[in-house]
Amino acid sequence: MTDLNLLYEAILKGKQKSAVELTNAALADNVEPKLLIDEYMIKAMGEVGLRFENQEIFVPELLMAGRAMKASLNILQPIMKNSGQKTSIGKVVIGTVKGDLHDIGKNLVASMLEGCGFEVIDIGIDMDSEKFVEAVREHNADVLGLSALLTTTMPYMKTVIDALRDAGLRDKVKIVVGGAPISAGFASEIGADGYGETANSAVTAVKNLLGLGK
Amino acid sequence: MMFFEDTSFSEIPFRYDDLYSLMGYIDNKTPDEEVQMLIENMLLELQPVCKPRMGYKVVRGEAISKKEIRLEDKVLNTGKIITYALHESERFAVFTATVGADFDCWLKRTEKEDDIVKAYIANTLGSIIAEATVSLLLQRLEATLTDEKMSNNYSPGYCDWALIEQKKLLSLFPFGVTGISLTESCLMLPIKSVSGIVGIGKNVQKRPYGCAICKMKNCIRNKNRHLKPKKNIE
Repeated sequence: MTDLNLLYEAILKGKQKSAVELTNAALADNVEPKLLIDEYMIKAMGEVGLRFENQEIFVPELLMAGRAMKASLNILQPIMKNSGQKTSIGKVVIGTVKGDLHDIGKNLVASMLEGCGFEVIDIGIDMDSEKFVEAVREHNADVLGLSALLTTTMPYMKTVIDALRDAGLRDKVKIVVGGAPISAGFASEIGADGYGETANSAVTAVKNLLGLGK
Repeated sequence: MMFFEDTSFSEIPFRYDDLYSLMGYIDNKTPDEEVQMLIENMLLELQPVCKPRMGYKVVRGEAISKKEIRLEDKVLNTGKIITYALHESERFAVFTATVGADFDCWLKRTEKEDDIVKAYIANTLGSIIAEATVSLLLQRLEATLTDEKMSNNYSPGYCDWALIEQKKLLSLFPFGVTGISLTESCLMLPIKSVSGIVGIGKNVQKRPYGCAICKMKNCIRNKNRHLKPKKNIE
């Protein structure tokens, strides 16, 4: 039998190859995908988030863990979908707004959200309001995450929120904003539901908005 | 007086300490062995595409208010922090530095590999190389000064100097000389580029950056950027 604690360790240490091998080995042992995700992988990512917050590990190690988690999820999720099981705790569409090409912060948040069990649809950078509206509608997103690093592009977040309102989708999706120049005051001013000062706090905001907080 | 130079990666004062610091490592901590290996491989990979171009133009100017500096016929709204830091200057060097368009293409290719770790490292390397190019440029400028001193360097988008002012700063250079263009949102292209200003004069001081009063959390010059936020605000 596969020692499933090794899967926990592989995710925690960001060992993608080991995580994939152990996931496949566990499946060969007929372990339920949901058990792997809930009891080992999400717990490992929870520990990663904690260590990151405590500055015991840093962005590269956090991303390595996220990469390992994603590789294992890519194996498990199709199996769960085929058997009609729910594969995520919520859907998040995320992107960087028009005029802005920065994506490190967005990728970090996306990775951490996936680590917590969310399905993340990353639509990329330099996205106009129509693309955000389309993605929210198409994926029936629970949360929309908007990112901007420039003071010149952050006002576009309001354009996106207005476009969602015009499309009749504003009440169907929670909006979380983040990025270096963004503040809680700005988030509130433009009508966002939440704000993440750090990647961890963005995840906390998403969870709280969906009633999944501790 | 204007100076521009194309240089190479081997000339750039690249420092691992700066890279690790930008990645967030504190207290002399260093990345995981696998990350270090990735960094080494990527440094080898990027060297042929890293074609830094850097230069400056020295102009007469003066602080005309607590928040503004006049250079030639342009008034730059540099804000209180920067204007004060530069107020003793008799001359100003406006500068640009870019890692180059080939680096941008390499970065985009790397990002398309769908490996978030590599994409992050590539991006961070680009930022550090751009800053190191500025350091080299400022060394070149300092070497030309005899009895004058040089201030720290400041860029639009930092301290309280609005990013949109980048348009005015770049307009001080003849068209095409910098190798940098601006998007509508004032993003420089190539993306790994820096523009800025330094003050020159007999009484100029290298004042510490005003990080304590500046709100920018991700500033490359803010040594306190790794401190944990006081609280998470939803």
